[in-house]
Amino acid sequence: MNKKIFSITIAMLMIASLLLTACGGKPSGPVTVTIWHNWGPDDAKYTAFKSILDDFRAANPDINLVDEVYVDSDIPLKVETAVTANQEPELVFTGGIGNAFTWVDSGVAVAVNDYLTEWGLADKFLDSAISQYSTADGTIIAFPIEGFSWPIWYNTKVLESVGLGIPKTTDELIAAAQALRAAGKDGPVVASGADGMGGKLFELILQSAMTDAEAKASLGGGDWTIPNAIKGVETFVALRDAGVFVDGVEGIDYGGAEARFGTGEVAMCHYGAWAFADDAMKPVAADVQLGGFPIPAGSPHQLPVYFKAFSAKGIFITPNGQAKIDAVEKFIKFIFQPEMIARLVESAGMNPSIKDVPVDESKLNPLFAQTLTMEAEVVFISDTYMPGAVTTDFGRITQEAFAPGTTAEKILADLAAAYAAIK
Amino acid sequence: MTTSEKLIPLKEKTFSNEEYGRRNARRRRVSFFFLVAPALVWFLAFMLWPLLNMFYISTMRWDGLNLPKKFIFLDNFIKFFHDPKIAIALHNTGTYLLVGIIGVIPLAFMLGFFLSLRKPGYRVLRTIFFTPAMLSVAALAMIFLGLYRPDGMLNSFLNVLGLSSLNQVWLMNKSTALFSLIAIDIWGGIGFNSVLFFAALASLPEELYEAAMLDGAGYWTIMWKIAFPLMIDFIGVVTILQFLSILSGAAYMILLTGGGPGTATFTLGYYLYDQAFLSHRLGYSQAMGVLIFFIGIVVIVLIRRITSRLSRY
Repeated sequence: MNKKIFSITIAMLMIASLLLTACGGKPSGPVTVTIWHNWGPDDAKYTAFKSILDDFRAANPDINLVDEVYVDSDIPLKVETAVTANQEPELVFTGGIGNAFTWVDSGVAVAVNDYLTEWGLADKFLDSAISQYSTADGTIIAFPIEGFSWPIWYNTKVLESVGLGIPKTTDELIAAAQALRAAGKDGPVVASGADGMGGKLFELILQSAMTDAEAKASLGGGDWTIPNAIKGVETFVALRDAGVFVDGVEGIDYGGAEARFGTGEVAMCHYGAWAFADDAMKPVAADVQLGGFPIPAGSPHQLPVYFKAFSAKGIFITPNGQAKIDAVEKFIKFIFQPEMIARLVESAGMNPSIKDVPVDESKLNPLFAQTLTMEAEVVFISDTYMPGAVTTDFGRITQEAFAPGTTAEKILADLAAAYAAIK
Repeated sequence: MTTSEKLIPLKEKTFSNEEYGRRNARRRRVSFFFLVAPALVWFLAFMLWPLLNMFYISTMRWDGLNLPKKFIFLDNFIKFFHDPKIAIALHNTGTYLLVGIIGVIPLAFMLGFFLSLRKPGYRVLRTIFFTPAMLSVAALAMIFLGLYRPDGMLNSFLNVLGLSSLNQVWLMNKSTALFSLIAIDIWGGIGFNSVLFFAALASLPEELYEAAMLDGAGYWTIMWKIAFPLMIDFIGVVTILQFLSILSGAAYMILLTGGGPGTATFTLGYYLYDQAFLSHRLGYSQAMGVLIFFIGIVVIVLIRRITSRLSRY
């Protein structure tokens, strides 16, 4: 055969085989749904979450469920970058905070309003949970899944060692600081002044002097001329200068604060539900009574205050998830079954975002059980209303606020400047 | 037909010298093009294109990777004049550069000179000095976090010396945070740069030192009167490298202080990171990139001029 004809025949056969392959219809096999989350082995929810995923896999062999664990704070940027390359996972578990509220507009996630109705889930969720994942125009950005309480932990043994009970007002707290220091102990409150967790305590103290509306106007809108916002900052400075915080609080990080409280050295700390099952806290857990932060005189609140919210984790559906919506629907319906959510509540003290969760109270973490009956008032955490662009400045300002010598005037001026800069 | 008749007569083609030269030059141009093409493509795709993009994005308001851009021309640059943090970042960066360069280059040169004398044990010392360069930034940050913690090694050491009054929260005290970070750079920079100096000094002819010693010069004199003047150009290069690593660096601020407390460790490099990755103001962050780029060019030219003038004397 002529070489030329032979070559042309082979080439045509190759092209034909490629074309036939392309026309061969959908590839068979399971649909892959990838989830990015941070409920890895270090998280209290890991075991329960893993059991839910395993049960889903067993019940849905047609879906290849892949879960990838990342550091929580890394997830938003990873997702945003992945979407630009069309390489994003189908589902993302992350907080309903900061930039996540722009995700529907920017195409990183899709609104779930219609899915809530179509999948028969609308009546299942708590209104308070849904509202924290809703934008001003009513767009629901994700299915809320993880709620939390963020109370003050009181080590009653330490307080009783100087004949004190749990302080309800800032005056009582200052008296407790004086008594503890007179007894040769450190200040009563350990906080991670060096990171964002300390910033949340700073915010809680500010809110102890403010109504929710005032908190939204100052922490959300940047109005730092509101008298109660000024009072909140002054309260913080007065507490710091009275020795309420442990020495060197401005240099302590999350782990350091947990270690100080967990070894029974100090009387108070500010940790959320995620720490209820932490090993570091176990040595003192039996002596812990949960409550709110003491309120200053003239506070608009009647009781000590604490945070309770659902901003910890929502399930976002990405454009890739929308393309596999049938598989995603199966997963969402599966995980939001009351008995599945009950596993997360029982094992990790997670506040459920849905109604009628059949919890076995005997299985509840004792600290979580305390949050259900503690006498304290909920204030609205700023996660959902503080502008994302100001959060890093807010963190730096609060770091500095914990350092001795930083005046209330400087803190207020810095806060005003930080909010003005983003307008 | 005979065999000889089948042979095709070979045509002897002759070229004039001029034509030969032209052909040769063309051949050289073609082979030169193929030699540089990969590097040129690499440069255009991965150096020039991103650089041009930086200039392009700096003229945009762009508040997130997936959000639309809006052309605002020079507004991001005009904003510099109204942004108090730019002045703070420039001040902190200036302090960092000044202390970081002055603290590193002379000591690194002296150590490099000492190594170049090849005294017993210099190989071990050279390896020890180079060790910081082999550690990852994150590992170094962890080491220094342990050192600077309120209950860390530094405060413990001061306690042992009976100097507990000097205890500090080193990374969260406004007056010590920046210098604590600079100290990390100095610690790592001296060792690394001393090895660079050692390599350069090793190329100097030994006869120079021997002649000077015969004339009665000591090591100190040899170092400053002979080695130093001969190394001026190289010192300029090392200074530029140190300058560039500090100017655009932000790793220790990201890992250890977050730019705080307050704005104590807020440098230009950190501000760029903050705006790009934390505050999602991509256009403004790239405008900062342009600012850093031009500061870099100006200072590099300045350093080159100073060193070339000094090397003439």
